[in-house]
Amino acid sequence: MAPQSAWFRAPTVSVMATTTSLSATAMARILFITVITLFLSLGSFSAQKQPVIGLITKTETNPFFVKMREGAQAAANSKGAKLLTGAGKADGDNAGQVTAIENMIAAGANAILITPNDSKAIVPAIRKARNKGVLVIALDSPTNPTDAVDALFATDNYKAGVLIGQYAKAALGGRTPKVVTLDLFPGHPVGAQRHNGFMIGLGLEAPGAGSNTLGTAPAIACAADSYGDQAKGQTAMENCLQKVPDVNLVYAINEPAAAGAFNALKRADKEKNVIIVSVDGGCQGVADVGAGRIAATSQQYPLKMAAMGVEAAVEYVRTGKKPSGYTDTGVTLIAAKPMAGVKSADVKTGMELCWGKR
Amino acid sequence: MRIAVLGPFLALIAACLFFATQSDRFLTGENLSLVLQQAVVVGIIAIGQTLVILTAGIDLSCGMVMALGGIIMSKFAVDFGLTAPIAMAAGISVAALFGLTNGLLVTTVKLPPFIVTLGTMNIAFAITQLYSHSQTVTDLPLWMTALGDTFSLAGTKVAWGTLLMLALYGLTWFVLSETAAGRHVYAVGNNPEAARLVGIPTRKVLLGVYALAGVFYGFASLLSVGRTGVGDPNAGQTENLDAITAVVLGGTSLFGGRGVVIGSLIGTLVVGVFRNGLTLMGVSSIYQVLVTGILVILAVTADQLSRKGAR
Amino acid sequence: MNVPTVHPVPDVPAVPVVLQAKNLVKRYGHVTALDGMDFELRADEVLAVIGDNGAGKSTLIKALAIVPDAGEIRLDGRLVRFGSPIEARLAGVECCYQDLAVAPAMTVAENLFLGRELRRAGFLGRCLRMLDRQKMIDVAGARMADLQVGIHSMTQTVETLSGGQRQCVAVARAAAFARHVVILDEPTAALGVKEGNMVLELIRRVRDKGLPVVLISHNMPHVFEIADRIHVARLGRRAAVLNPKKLSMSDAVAVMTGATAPENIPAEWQA
Repeated sequence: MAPQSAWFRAPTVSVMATTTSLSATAMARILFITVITLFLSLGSFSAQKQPVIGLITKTETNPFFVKMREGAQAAANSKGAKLLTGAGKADGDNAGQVTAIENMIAAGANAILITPNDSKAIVPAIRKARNKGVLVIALDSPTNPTDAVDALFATDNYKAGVLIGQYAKAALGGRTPKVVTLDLFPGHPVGAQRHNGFMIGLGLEAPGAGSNTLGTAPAIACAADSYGDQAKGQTAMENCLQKVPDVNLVYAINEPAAAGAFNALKRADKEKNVIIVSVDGGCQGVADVGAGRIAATSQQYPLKMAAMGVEAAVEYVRTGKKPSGYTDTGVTLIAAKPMAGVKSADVKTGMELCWGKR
Repeated sequence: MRIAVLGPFLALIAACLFFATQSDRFLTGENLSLVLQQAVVVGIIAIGQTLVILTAGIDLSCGMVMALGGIIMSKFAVDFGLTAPIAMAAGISVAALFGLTNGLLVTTVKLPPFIVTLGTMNIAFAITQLYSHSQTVTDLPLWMTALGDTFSLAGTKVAWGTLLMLALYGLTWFVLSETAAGRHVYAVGNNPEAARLVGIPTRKVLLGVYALAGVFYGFASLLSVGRTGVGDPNAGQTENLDAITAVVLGGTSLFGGRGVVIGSLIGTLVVGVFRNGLTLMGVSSIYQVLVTGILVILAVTADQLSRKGAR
Repeated sequence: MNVPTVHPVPDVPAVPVVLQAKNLVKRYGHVTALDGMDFELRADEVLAVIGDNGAGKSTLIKALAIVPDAGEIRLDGRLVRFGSPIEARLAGVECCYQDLAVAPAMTVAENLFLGRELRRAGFLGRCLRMLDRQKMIDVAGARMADLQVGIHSMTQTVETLSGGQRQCVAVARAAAFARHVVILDEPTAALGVKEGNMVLELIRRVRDKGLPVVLISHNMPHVFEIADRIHVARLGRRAAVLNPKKLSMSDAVAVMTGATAPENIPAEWQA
């Protein structure tokens, strides 16, 4: 009988043990990544000149990063490069990404592409990699300082926010905005950039692109965190609806959160009078635009981002030419109903370019 | 026993009174109904978690098993065109199977529940991601989401899922406090050796508890799918700690053998009330995390003191 | 009735033997814990079992309640084999194990009925399997009053009781339901003087109610205070059965440790 209660015997251990559960998962994943990278590195000895490229995403499972990995894999295959992949255990996990960098250096990576979970904390590990002659390219999100990496291939999240803000302003057509924002979580640069860009587009005052702080304004009647998750987005929207029953505009950090917001509005029979705008441009999100659930979304291109990164890395290995600076991989506003004065592409175009198709 | 729930209950009432003074929208039937709806998923997982914790165990796999159940039922319905009840039953069965596996590993291989469920948590997560290709399952048949629908009761919208949750709490309370099987769960958690010596089949009790917990996680997947209208492979990532938090806030002892299942509902609601109330006040959700942390420490301290006092 | 064969002991009145074991053998791997142990419990007595560590005291209890490797056990003359503690209980042999016996967070009544709960009559009990709490409380109260255990509230949790009272609950649970034999394993081990006496008083009352008691104990003063006869276990066998009124504690210890060889035990010491 003892085993099933053994770890509970010491009173001080009990709570601690529950909180260590996730780090234990992380350990398991790190172990897994180590084994995989070691395995892959063994393979790399046989193909002497094959470029080895590491891709480290924020998480293993977010569809955005799943697609990014697929894009990188396709580009690596066509260029004859070997791709190693790793990820943080969750959005915000820096330690997992540091471990992945270390393992990839050990596995002989020539270049590392990374979407940093923590723009500052990752910098020392990146510096170590670069000192060993590894090319490091940031994808999707910049590091802080931005020149900690050789180059940045990213969507301009601030601009993505501006576009949907402008669209929302036109769609409101003179009505006073009563806004609910469903943000990511406190302190995340992408969350702040999209949010603040949206405010600027809407004609409100907001912090600039370099700020990590969410802008506030009287027009934003309720701001809540969705963690980019549909269920949590729905909960956040329900609570905001209690505070702001007459909301007419919803900004959602991404399309799952937007879908959650639509669910909440529909339950309250308010979905017809509220404009929802979002960012990402995943296929499900574009389909939601087509179905009228989301009014407009700023489409980004993770496949392209990753493919460009892999190509630059291969070129570096073959010719020694390093990419540098910031390359915008582009953003397109997708809307079912175009608004005068706001440039947008239709749903059909969006569906052709979208990521995350099943 | 009743005293154990009193503290959490008072905390809930105090929180409600506080938010009522801060926002005139808080104490409306509609808003309270909403808090209940938001509590259903963690609330039902917390029932299973309470059973396991009463036996001095712990179940880390609950959230991931819930996500797997949700993916199974939604993919079975969409990909194979199974009718909703069969797809739902399939999802619940898979969740129950995971619970049974936990139970078998705990009772026969005699591994600590922490390790067993840490393992099955990762296995369930991996299967969920592999089977769904990390893609959300949409376009579910209408029946699948019926539990998320609401009906009007005295002018207030009530979700069917809320009713299901309350019914499951009632049923579990009855079994735990009014039947021999329920009392044996307490005895096994309280003093496993004594329970074995008086002839209680302790292994069977443990096996039943873990399997039943799996069934509850399956019901939670049903509610999660019903509420969001999709099968979400990334659901359930924080629900294990959320559920353990709810159980602890509800006054159930992590050392086993003490606690009341209704307490876990109160614990779930405390967290939900803070989330809702702080949003109404326009305060950042990070304060909800702060308050939850403080309450957990208080709850565990109270448990520790009462156990010490009893010695 | 099967007349039990007893080792010829002088001047012993013909008292019926309740529980008798012959030539019990129990091995754990290479260790032979019981090596042909005989045992005999008579009606209306407290039989103490003493012995050094490893002499086979605890194993004897386990062998009496659970199947031994060899040997036979007779209860009221009938050959019995108990597959589990619960079968022993069903046959009317109740065991109370060393300080492991109660669930502290449960009430006195619940502990008394643990594993043999009473269900309500009719639909509620048969179909909903609902417990009859009130009846359990009433019966528990009556049994406890019967044994004069000074615990009056059957709904208080055991952890709110003193150590002695807790042990009394454990002993009373065994005594309240035993029909033939009560076996107590070190019931006074963890208790102070006053609390130990409380438990001894209870054991005496159990015997006076007509239930024979087997008392396994290390505590010589307690054994000498309460035992009618003393079974000495040594090296997996019965070294002797002694009469506490005829010898001193040090005499008993000498037998127990082998300082006095079995063949040198004076006849008047034996019981």
